[in-house]
Amino acid sequence: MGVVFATLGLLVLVMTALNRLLGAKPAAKATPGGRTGRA
Amino acid sequence: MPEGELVGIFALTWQVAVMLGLGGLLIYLGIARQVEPVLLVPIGMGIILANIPLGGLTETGGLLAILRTFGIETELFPLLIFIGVGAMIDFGPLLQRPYTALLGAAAQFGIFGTFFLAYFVGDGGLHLFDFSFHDAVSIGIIGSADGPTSIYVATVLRSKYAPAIVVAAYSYMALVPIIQPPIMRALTTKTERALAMPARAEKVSPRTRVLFPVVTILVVGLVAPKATPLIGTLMFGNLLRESGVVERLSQAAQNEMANIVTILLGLAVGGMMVAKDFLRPETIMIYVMGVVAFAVGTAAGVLLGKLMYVASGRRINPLIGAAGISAFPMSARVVQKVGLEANPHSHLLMHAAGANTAGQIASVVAGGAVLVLVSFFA
Repeated sequence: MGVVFATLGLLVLVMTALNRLLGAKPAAKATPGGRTGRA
Repeated sequence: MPEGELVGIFALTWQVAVMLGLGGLLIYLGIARQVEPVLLVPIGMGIILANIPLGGLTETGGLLAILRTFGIETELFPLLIFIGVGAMIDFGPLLQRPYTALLGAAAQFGIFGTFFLAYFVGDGGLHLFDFSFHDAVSIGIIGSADGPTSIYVATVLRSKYAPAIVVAAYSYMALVPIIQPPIMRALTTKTERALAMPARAEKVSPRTRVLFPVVTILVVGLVAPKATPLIGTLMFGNLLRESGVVERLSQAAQNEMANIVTILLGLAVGGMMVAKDFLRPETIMIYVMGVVAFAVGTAAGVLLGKLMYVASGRRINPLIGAAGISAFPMSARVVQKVGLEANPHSHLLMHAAGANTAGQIASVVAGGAVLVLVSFFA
């Protein structure tokens, strides 16, 4: 069981890191003028 | 040539009749009761074909013997099936909730618990049954709730009970909605079961989805190298799915290849169930231990879920731990159903799907781990 937990534990870390590094960017906030992002 | 070698009915024994009946029963369950029909129908037909007296299909050069030699003994069929399974699985729910991977790990406890039990009643203790160390490990792997892994491990270890183990594994997967709920209810309180979890989770980027199968092969392969064939084919199939550039190959893996190999695998497994090898007290014991394996795996998953419930400040519903066994997607649906019974506004499906897909990876890792265990102790 140790090997199974160690491997899946490593995968938890890898998935968390992947999500942090490559996570989907949040949608840009819409401005009152209808434009997005910087002016 | 004597008449007895030409007319099969003269060679019909009660054992053969029982096997023919068993083949018919599996076909009936598959067609009339819709119990894993994709597998039980070919397996049932394989049993009938293999046990027709003087049919010759299991003798050297016979169709079933060829399928066994080239598809099962080489471990080819389960690995090809895994490419299809990988192409079918969406690991999104797991990537959205990485912590659910630990529930998949906990639910593999059924494998090890059942292994110890099988070895104890066999060569390791009581000697009540003819279970060698290799047989006990192969029986334990029923607890992975994963057909291809069960076939792979039992074949690699050359267990004489491989057919019974495979049929038990697939039979119990179909019985997950009956086996799991009483254990889930017994180990949790109504308050715990009623806990609602947020249905929405952050989206997973396409790059993460593409990298995940490659990284998983590296992680699992480096920690548990014996699991590489299984995790490699599973994740190769998933890469076909997630890459987005080989849709044809992904569809072929999910449909044509998986379907063709399932037919051949089912016939080959059924073809291994010949009367003289199958009708033994050990076969019944394997079925008994299969229930134990599923029950222990479910309980271990729920108990870790309870630990997470407390550790998270009552934000994780312990029921999702039951989906850690890799009977995909059946056990995730069972979790959703039991959760809904306790709270009609609680939708646990996606959380359970995370644990469920983690169970698929964990069962493969456990399969590799037990193979290492065998080479270490044997």
